[in-house]
Amino acid sequence: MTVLTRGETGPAPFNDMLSLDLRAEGADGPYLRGTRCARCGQLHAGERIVCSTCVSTDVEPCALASRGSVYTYTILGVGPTAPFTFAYVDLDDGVRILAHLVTVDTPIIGMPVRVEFDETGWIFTEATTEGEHA
Amino acid sequence: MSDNVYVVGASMIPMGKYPDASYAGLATPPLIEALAGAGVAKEDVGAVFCGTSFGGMMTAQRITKAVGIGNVPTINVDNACSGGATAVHLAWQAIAEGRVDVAVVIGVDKLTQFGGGTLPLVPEDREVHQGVVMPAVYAMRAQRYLYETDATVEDFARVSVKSRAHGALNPLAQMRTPTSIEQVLASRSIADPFTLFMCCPTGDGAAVVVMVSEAYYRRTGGPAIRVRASVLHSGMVDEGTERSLIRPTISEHSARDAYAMAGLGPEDLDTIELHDAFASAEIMYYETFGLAPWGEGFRLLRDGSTTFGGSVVVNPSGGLLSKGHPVGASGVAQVAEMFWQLTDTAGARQVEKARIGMTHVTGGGLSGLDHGACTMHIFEGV
Repeated sequence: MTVLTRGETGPAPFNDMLSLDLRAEGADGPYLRGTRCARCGQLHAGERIVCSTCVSTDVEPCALASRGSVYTYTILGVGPTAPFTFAYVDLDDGVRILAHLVTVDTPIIGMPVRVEFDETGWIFTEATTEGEHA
Repeated sequence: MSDNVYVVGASMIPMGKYPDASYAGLATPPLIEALAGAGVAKEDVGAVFCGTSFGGMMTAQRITKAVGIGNVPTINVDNACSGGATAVHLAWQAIAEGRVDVAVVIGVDKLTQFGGGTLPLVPEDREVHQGVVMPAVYAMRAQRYLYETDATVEDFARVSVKSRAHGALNPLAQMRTPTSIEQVLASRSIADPFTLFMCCPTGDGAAVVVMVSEAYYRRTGGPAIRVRASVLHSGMVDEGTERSLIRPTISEHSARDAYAMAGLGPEDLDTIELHDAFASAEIMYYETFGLAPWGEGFRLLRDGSTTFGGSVVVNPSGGLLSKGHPVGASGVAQVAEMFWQLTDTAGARQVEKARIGMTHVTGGGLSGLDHGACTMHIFEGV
């Protein structure tokens, strides 16, 4: 739970290293965890204790949209996991998120994608059928 | 605070691979030469600013003790790739505020300590935790640029070809062999659309500049360039889908402020050293700095506007693509290049009649930020 907590002597640290993995499972399938600001409504990727837009600490966990489209991508040809496709995915709720993209063919900017979980964590893959769930 | 500040001495080692040299071993030789060239005695040095990202504790003191500089405020600065230029900005600030008359600026980093590969980033960051590396970040911007504009991958190759043509004239550059569009495109793929020749090499480097006050300059004279603008910005978080990744806002805002401070515009610049860590970035910065309309920057490469004989010579040194990019050293090396260009001592790569020059270096790959830091300077030969 992401709330700003206080110890007896002052603010307590936010153990954000524990929430680097954004995976969560809901009634409608897998989703990525985000944070919504209760004051200004701004959505953020991941767990937050404060809204970077309005600085309110009245923030609450929420599910990010599980669908979006590819804003841009690259196929990284170097490193231990090469070839590895990164993309910035524009989620339907207005959040842009870096993602590991797994597609059958070469990615296309603008292609619809949805989140899925696999043994590596979370990935985005082609969303072929409207309303389809993983 | 508006007293004139001058750069009166500059030196750097040729960028390269020096596994047997320590940080002090890299930076002490240019420190000696910059002081001697400026005619500044070590007793006159009132402050030291050192930009480095991987030097570890007390990098500056490990260097300055070799020449017995001490008892002065000495500050080690990290701002990723912008650290060296941030140190220049701090020296300018200290002198302009009248706190010191003479400041030494060191930029140094040794990337051979990592044994190759892409630049190590901070794994606490969400995107870095996901495995992102700088070539991928820039490649995604480049891919989007190709999607939104009429530019082609050959235009990115043209940046590398120009860089190598300039680097061939610069004995301080690592990559000094001219290349062709075909060769750039045939080099191995790093992160599409980037091939190897579109990515700056790493390496080791150290550069030093000596900066002085108006009063000190009047007493000593000699070759000098005057600081017309010194600007430092931090990145503003924006993780929404409205943001354009092909409009580098931190550099746009920094350029606007630098032009305003100098009372100059893009049409006044004779030469620019800008942050060409990857070939596509140079094209986007043409647009960012107002040299070309948005989406049209690639045309300046096609018509030769930004090479020798053109209207503004960009990266006459060969830039990071030919020199290499030892993080903390690069921003100071850019200012050293401006010192040589604007004092007519740049040798074979001299920009004809260069009088006004601008430097630009960003720093950092962090999720949600365009860049973490951006430092820009405008100089005038005196």
